[in-house]
Amino acid sequence: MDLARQRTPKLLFNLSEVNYIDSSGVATLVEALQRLGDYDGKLAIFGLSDRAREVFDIANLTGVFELYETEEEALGKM
Amino acid sequence: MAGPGGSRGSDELELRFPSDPRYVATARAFVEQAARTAGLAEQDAARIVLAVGEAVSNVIRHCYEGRSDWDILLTVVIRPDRLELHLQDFGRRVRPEELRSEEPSSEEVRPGGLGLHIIHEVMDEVDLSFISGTGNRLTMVKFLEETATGAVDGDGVSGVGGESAQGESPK
Repeated sequence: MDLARQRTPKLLFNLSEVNYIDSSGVATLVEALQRLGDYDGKLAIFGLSDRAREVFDIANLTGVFELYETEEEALGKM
Repeated sequence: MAGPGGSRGSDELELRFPSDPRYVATARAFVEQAARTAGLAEQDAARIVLAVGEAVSNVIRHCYEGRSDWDILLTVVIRPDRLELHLQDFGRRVRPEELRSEEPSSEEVRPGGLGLHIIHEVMDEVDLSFISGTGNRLTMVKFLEETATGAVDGDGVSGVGGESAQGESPK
């Protein structure tokens, strides 16, 4: 959130080492997305495991975030 | 409960653990192994693990208000046609209206609401009751896949029970 407060224009989250994420983790990402949206910043995520992606699917948030398989792909699109 | 050598209609596993967030992973591992033993595929077991993790976190956060030194009792009952998960706490009564399942949007996400949404999305039945003198009891049921023996998937039904001295939730 400090980066959002500093109005960082782009944030890219690497979740490739994240084995488990729950609603509190997802909510934190949503909050970050909202903060960046306040100043038209961009947020993207890459490296989601199948299990982590499942959480986004269940929460109906896969369409809300920009999700990529690799860092290269994400950087190319941001 | 069947005695030694007796036939069982179900198997019951129990885990009692402190309300320390460090043990949420322990509870999840316990449930995952039980779900796989019950015959659930890895993805289905992972979804149930997610629901249990959310439920345990809610107990710590809402029923125990963050205290890490109280007990939580998690019981898994493996039946031929279903997996039952019973989460018993010994804390303050949580009223159903405090627990609102929220489908999230990008405009607003509250962790508690999203956690309940996940539980309701994953499980086929969810019931919350309060046992006088004890605490809240959350029951989550997942019907198992139709098998060669004819067990049938159920429709998802959610309900919230009221207070009961016997621990039975009125339907």
